[in-house]
Amino acid sequence: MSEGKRPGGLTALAVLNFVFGGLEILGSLGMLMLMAFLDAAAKSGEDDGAAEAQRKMAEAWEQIGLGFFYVILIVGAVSAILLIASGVGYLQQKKFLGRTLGNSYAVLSIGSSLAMGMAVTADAGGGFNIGTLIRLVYPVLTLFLLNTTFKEDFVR
Amino acid sequence: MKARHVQLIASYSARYSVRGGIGLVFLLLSLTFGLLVAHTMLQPVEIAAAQFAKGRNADPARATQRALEAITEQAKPVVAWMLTPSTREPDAEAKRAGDAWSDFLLDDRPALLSAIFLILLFGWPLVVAFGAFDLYAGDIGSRQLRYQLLRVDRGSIYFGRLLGMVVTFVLVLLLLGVTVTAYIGLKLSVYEWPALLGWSAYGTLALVVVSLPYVALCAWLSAGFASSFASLTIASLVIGGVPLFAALGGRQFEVLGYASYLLPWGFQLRLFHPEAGQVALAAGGCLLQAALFAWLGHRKFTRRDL
Repeated sequence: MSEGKRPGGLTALAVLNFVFGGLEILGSLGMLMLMAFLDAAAKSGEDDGAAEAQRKMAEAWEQIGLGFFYVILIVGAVSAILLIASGVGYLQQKKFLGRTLGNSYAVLSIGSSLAMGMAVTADAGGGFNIGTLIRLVYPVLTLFLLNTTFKEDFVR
Repeated sequence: MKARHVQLIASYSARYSVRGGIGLVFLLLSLTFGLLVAHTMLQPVEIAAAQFAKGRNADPARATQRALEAITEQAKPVVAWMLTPSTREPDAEAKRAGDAWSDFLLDDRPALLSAIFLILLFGWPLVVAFGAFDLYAGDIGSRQLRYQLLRVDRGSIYFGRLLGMVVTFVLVLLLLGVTVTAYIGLKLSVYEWPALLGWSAYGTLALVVVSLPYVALCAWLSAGFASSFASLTIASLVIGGVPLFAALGGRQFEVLGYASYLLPWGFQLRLFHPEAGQVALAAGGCLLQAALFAWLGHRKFTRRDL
């Protein structure tokens, strides 16, 4: 592959990385807000349906351990950074910034999705379901494409 | 046209479509859409099963079975209404046929798979447009086909790329079918494996057959335009517009309802009919339309300025 000839697929992958990176940041912020809501629900004495569901969720997270919640939060933030950084790397066709960080994101994302599916119960908003498989589509596709189709395109 | 050239172009087209970007977006879109449809169908069953298991201390497989039975009973009238021939006032015979058809799909066959296939059948043609709209239009616009024409004839390019696109669709549908079947079989454990595998293979094959005329239509339209955007817009408008026009027009004048037969929309549902004759007619219709659109596309591609 001659230098400077970036395939359209790699550009599309970079754009998708920026989109999913933005969504990942929003997801991490959402997790922080969820934590605040759950904390408030656990302390409130209200007994309507919504408060009951939030209390159940708070109890489920206490059982799993809040440490795991923070791990997921940090993994989400790191994934967002990796997505955006590797997106820039795809555009510049850089080996470390593009391929290495892209692979790192894919492995981290697959690992965290599987951990969410296995360790977090359905009551806490986790559990292994088709949603888990949907979350796996992009990282698996990234891992596959970076190591086959676009393997020779990172020339810098 | 040479078979060796067609085979070579098909193989490269299928393998390298992802490099162009459009193939990558299509792959992501089609896999996400297929899994999302499955998720929409499976999630209510899983939630109901979890509630049932908690409330009555039942084992997960039994709870899923009971939840599935309850949801199937509720969904049956809607499915029967969907499958009843759409005349202004369906008679008792038509209603009976609709009921028998819904019994076949929801009782005799794995109901969850049937529901997923029915929804996919309505959404998949629109996904096809996103995968096949740029078969030729982009390269016609950028005049890049001239370099290939030094080595191969137009017919080989046309059918090679068309075949490559069909192969891509078959692979994506196979991947979806295997994923959803494995999930239902391993996680829910409510169906016997032979029944599940058999119906999954049949449904995947039906979706492949339905895809053929839409892919051929996209090939025809793509051969007619020198702009990818124009090709995508027209393909989406035609594929989505035909059933819309038939539904709205059919309310005013019954004859306009038959416009849905211009594409497989009018009969594609019959690929899941209990009678073999109806299935054969629907499959024959799909293949006939695929051949017609492919021929029209070939005619256009071999005569136009490239």
